[in-house]
Amino acid sequence: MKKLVILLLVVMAVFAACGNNDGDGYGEGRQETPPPTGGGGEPVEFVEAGDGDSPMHPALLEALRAFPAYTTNDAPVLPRGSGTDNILRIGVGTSSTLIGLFLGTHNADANDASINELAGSYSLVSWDANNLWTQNGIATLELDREANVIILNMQEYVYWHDGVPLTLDDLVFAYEIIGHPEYTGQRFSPELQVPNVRGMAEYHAGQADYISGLVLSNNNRTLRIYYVDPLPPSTLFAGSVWLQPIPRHWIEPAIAEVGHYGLQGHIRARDQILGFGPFIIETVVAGESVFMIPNDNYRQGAPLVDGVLVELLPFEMVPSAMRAGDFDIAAYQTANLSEFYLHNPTNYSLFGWPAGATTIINFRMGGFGEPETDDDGNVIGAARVQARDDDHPIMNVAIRRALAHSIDRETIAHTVGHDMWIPAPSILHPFNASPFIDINRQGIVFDLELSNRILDEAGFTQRDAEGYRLDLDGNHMYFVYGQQSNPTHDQLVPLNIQNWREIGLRVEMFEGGFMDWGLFLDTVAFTDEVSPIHIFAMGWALGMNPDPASLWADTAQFNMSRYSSPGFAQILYDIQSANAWDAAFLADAYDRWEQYFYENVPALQFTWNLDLVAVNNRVTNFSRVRVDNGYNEPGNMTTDSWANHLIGLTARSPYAN
Amino acid sequence: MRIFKLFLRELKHDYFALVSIIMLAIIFLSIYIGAFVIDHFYDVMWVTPQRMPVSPEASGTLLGLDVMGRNQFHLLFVAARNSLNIALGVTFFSFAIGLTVGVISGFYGGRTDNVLMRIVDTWSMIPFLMVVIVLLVVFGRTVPTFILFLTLFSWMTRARLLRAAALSQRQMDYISASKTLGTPNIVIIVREMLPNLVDIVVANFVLTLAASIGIETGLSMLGFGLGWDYPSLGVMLQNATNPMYLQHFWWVWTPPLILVVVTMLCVNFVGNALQRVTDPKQRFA
Repeated sequence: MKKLVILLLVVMAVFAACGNNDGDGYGEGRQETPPPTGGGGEPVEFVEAGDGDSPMHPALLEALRAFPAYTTNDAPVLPRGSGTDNILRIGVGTSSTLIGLFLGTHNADANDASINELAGSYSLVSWDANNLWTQNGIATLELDREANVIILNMQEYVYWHDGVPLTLDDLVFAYEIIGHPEYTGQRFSPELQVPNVRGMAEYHAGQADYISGLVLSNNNRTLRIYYVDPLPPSTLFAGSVWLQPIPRHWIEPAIAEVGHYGLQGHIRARDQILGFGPFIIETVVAGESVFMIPNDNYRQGAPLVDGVLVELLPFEMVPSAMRAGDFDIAAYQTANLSEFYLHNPTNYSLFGWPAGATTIINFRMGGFGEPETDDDGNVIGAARVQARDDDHPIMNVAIRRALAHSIDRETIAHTVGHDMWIPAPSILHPFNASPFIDINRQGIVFDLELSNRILDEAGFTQRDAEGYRLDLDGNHMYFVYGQQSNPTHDQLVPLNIQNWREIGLRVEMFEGGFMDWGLFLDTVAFTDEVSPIHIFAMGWALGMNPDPASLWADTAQFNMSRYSSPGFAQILYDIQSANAWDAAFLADAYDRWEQYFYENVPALQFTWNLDLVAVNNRVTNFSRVRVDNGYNEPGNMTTDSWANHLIGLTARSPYAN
Repeated sequence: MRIFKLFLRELKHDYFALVSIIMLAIIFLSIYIGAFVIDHFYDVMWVTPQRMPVSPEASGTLLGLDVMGRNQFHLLFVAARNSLNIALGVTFFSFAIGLTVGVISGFYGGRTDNVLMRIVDTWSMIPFLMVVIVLLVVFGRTVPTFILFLTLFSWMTRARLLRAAALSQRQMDYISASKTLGTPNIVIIVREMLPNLVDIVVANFVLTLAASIGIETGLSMLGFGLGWDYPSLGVMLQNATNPMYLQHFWWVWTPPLILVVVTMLCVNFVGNALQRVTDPKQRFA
């Protein structure tokens, strides 16, 4: 569960419940069926969880059945050279602008990362539906636990857009950029095992010219990455190690010109990135659009379209723009669905995937203490979570359970989610933790009677004149709900407050209404103080690694509940310990993790959502089936990844309704 | 009182005003009685979320349900009552302040007048809407804060108007006579001057009421006013900011819109008639 602050902002600024991605790990479908090579064909069969290779939670499968698996348009595609008619038009519904910093080591915005995926570079090693590394990518990956080394072997000949061959020296160069003392991006991260590379400490301190732990073979096609600390079991999962190369011959002159510090402003990190993806950036209109031309030497074959135009538009406009035939492909928001069902357009269809984002409802139980210091007052450790000391009733587990059991996620999943959302039965998310989710678990269900019973049994039986329960000392108690406004919260918040009133708990909005987004972040996220807000929901982009430490460790900045306990920390420790290399042990640890959340309710996951993409009928070969070949071939065109070389167009302009 | 007699006479010659005052009476009465009854029998803010607003036919109600499943007919009465209360509150308090400042300024004149009027001038220069929006965000959007901040920025015109009236009254012989007799100033103001200002207050009170309704609904509709948990006409009109609702779900925004327009029109006609009454040159009768 790796996430970047900026991505967090992106997610939340759009909707708490819409998909987004993570910069270097991309979303994926969950099937192993081969992709359709042309339009038409048999519907893709999904494999249910527990059946072996490709687990998916049955509830998600059910929701996915509402959508086609791929386009069934078998008209002949427009030939290459058809000019502007054969340009794939992609609409990105967003409320922000295009930042335009595409370089893989530096980008921090989901849209930038998607452009990098198309026109730049991507991970050299592929992964399967369980997010485990496979040997089907550009390079193979071998993990030697004894020697604590990762061995990469290039099995394919790949060329950069300018014809220079790609070698593992380019990956070494990526590490040299990330580890440089003047590096300005966010990838120097323990979650990518970058600081753990042998010799990185010296290089990062400026004491060495090269990283001694990166050992290339003579032909630059084998790379051994030596690590200092033992690699954690999460290394088994895709996205846990940095594996995206950066073209040395292209970026090194740029660095010579502006230095590492200025690289993110250099045009070669922006409009003129060099990659090996299926498309090449032709023009960028700052903040608005990107036009890409096909890369005829792409490793999987030449693209079928004469160009890709990516344009940004306000997300409210997506349904009408799709209906008018302005775009071929556009990411859809669940909030747009009402309009979809109102018009029932026939010129485009919707495709769905399990979303790589989620919303967690947190109960705030503390703040951060002072950072750990040595005798001289130097900071030597991160600040740790400190429980609030005023014993506010939110610290009482019965209160939290009652609050949680009174959240009617089913209704919101039905109304706002149009039955395509599933009230999450677990704190784990099927996007990255599919193999660990116990499909028989019910989780926290909506049950007002149960909530009442929990409160009565815990001793909250006295009530005031208005019927609200008093706390155990007989004093008034109330809780503060802080939330920004969006289509989901506009319905969820009034419903929650009403349900909580029904069980006798007084919950009031922070300052009487929905909060400004910036104020919300300042009050709950970017503060070490005990927040005046007790209940709030926050959206997250998910990485492929299910390790919950980055959200729940007692030193994690994103521990939004500011919660920790010995039992809680023990499970987190177990998940990262060497024992967890044992699959059964790890599965058991995750099972205890789910159980812990069920019993102690420091937070609960809101819903599992689907990402939606609208695809015009003139598009062919669009499919949500992922191919395990190193690139997120057609199946992965979520909001993260919009096009690929197999997509073709069968009419001279998008169909209008 | 004299103004009401004159007003009745004026009404005979101004059918718009006559119709308006009858409609206004009906609207006000039905709103207050209706809201009282509905509040007693229903919880209008009880939410049952829906995918989309439910039409009158589908829901079997007079004006359908909004997206939160609330009965729009019931909501309309309660919202209208709340909006009217807010408008009345703002108007009342801004007149209370305006009258006090204006009369003191006009009666005493000289330096007092100068100082008070410069304060009024300075206060009027503050960009009213912007500051109110910021203050509402900072101090929370509740009914008391709403009335407070709108009052804070709407009393100045009242003060200027009443100062002018007080200034002219001050020149009158009855004031001079009282002063010569040694009557305390406060008694002169309250017992002798104020009754002569009632005409102006009444006439402008009604016009200010219309403006206050407009400001409340405007701010709430744009999302700067009251929140979802307090029914008001502006909050109901917020639905009209959603293009999809505007196009397909007339019942969530048309009724409050019509009510606001009709009420404001009627109030304006009546207010204009009242104002004419206070100025002999403008009277029809």
